[in-house]
Amino acid sequence: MDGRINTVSSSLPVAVTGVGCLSGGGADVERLWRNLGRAVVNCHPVPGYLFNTVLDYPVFAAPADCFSERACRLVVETSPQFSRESVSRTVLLACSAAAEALIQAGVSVPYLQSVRVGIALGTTVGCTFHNEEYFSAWQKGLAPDLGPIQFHLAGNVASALHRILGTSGPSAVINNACASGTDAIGVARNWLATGQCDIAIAGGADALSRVAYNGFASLMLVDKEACRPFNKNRQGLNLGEGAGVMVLERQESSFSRQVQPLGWVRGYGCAADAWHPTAPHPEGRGLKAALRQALRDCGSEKLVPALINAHGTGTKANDKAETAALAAIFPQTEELVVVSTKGLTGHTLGAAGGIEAILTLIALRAGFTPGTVGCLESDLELSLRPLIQTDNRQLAGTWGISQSLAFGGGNAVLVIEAAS
Amino acid sequence: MSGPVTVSAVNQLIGNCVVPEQLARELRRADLFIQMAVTSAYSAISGLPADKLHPEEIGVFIGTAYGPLETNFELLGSLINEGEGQISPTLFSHSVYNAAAGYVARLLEIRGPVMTITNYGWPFLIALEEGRVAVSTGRIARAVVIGVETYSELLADAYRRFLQVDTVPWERSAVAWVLEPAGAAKGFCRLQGINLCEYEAQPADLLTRRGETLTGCGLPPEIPRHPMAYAIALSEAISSYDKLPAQQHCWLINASFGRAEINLAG
Repeated sequence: MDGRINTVSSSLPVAVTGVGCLSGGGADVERLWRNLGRAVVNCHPVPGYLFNTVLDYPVFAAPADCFSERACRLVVETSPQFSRESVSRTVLLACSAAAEALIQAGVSVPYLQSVRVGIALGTTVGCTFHNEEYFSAWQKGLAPDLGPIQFHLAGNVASALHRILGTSGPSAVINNACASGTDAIGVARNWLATGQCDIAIAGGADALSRVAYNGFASLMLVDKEACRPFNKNRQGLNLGEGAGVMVLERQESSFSRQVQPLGWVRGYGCAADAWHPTAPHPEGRGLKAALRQALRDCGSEKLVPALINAHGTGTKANDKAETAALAAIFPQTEELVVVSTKGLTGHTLGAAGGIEAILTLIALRAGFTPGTVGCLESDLELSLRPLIQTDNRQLAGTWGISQSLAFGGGNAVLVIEAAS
Repeated sequence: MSGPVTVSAVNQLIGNCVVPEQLARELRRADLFIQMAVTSAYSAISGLPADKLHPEEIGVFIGTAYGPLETNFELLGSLINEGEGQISPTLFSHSVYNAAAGYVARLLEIRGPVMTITNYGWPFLIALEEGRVAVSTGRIARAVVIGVETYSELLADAYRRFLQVDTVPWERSAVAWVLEPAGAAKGFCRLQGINLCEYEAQPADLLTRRGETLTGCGLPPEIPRHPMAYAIALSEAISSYDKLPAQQHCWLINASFGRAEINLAG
């Protein structure tokens, strides 16, 4: 670098006051964390309530009814006319996670509807038109009822959540493929830092789809058994679905509401590999840049995080590139505690960054992390040794990193601090 | 802790996309959405003076309402007509919304933040504000902000049936703006900030742009009813900003689905 970057940390502490999750690994944050500790692997053939397939790659599916009781109670208050049939499964997942997070944050509906609420959510499948019935009819020259088009136009996840919650403020859906959820939290943090909103709902959501399922199969990136991130004989990823959402606020906002933060998003970095349409740069070039950026942003370039929740998909290329980048940025690899949580959730695409940021925060708050579910034997060719499944570890600090890598060469990193 | 940001280059690409010879080989397998985004960004940047920015000091911000829709439908058609396990991996990778951003980054050697944002209202303006903040806070020294839509025949059919008309008013199009710190670059004007507010709207209004009007010196009184019309109108007005009688402007966009305010200074 030639020194012209005058990197300015947002410096404003952005507090996390609520978290909410739903995935194949657990129907809320408490159950997800408990199942992580017990190494529960809910990886099965695609259930019929999602779609029918002749392929035999297992997935981590969320429950058939993914609209939680909490969400039902919330929408009765915010949007009494709401019908769950009017929105996509991705929106229902997002709404369930948001409801859990808002309740934990102690945000009342009158308060929520009186302030500027920023909603930044990452998704991949959630923004595409995948109605096969409509498409088939249209292809045959018919004029199918326009309902599915209206449904699609009403389905932008962030706009839909604003509508359901009766809130107003900035809204964006981040489509950075598998890094979307991490970037969405970074975007929301910037909104708060620059005063564009008073409170933010940020993270990601994605439902499983037949198109994405076939797409990943075509890339030969999926395992026919439960995934084994960082394992010697890993064969690829399993797709999953879910949502992970944080409620973020400026520090003074949480103080004035007399809410104790769970922790803080301290830094955010995002950088491109500029390398290949689907494969990561072999040395993790973009990830290294994103890590450096996030460390600068949090004002602690020499930080050695107590925990790194890696992207850790279980593909050969990802795990190799990711560990190479981490070893380059943190040469003291013996001290590093690196895990992947995808053995619990599968790869939930746009939701992954949200879910994993939450699990990072929860582990840091507990001062403890379970090992990498599915990793039973370390791959000695990797540049460092992530924790294997049986290696549960006490953490030596309250600062950690959650990171994501994406198709198209995107890389995103969050630095998270847990409140003690 | 923020500094002023200037719009230092603007490009519009409407209709036919002629891929520059230098990029033709790399873009030969890319879909039209990717080609439009890359070509518009390349054209915008190529007008700038040569400099020595590090690739990590440059970012890409893409805003789109519909993304690579035709590629999505090609993929869906392949799945329906040819059956499972037959999808082309290239087609799948191009159907992912951020494929275009990945191509722009790779071909223009950009290694800073890369962001793709979707919204049915004004996605280009959301991307523009993200780029502005990234430059203003010193996180990067240049933001390449792209708005792009290539639509699809299925969407056109829906538009015609929603409005009971025979033709659609759109052509595939892309715009690219380059944002830089005001002190470091000459430009058309300073972009001081964008405020957006969404309203609940009928879904069809987002496609047919019901009630969308632009207000402000230098802006056309009427624009066609399609999702890129506002971005094209703003790009044209920025390009001739120096001819405006005053140099401080607040441009407004109103529609049944929201309100946007763009603050500029000469």
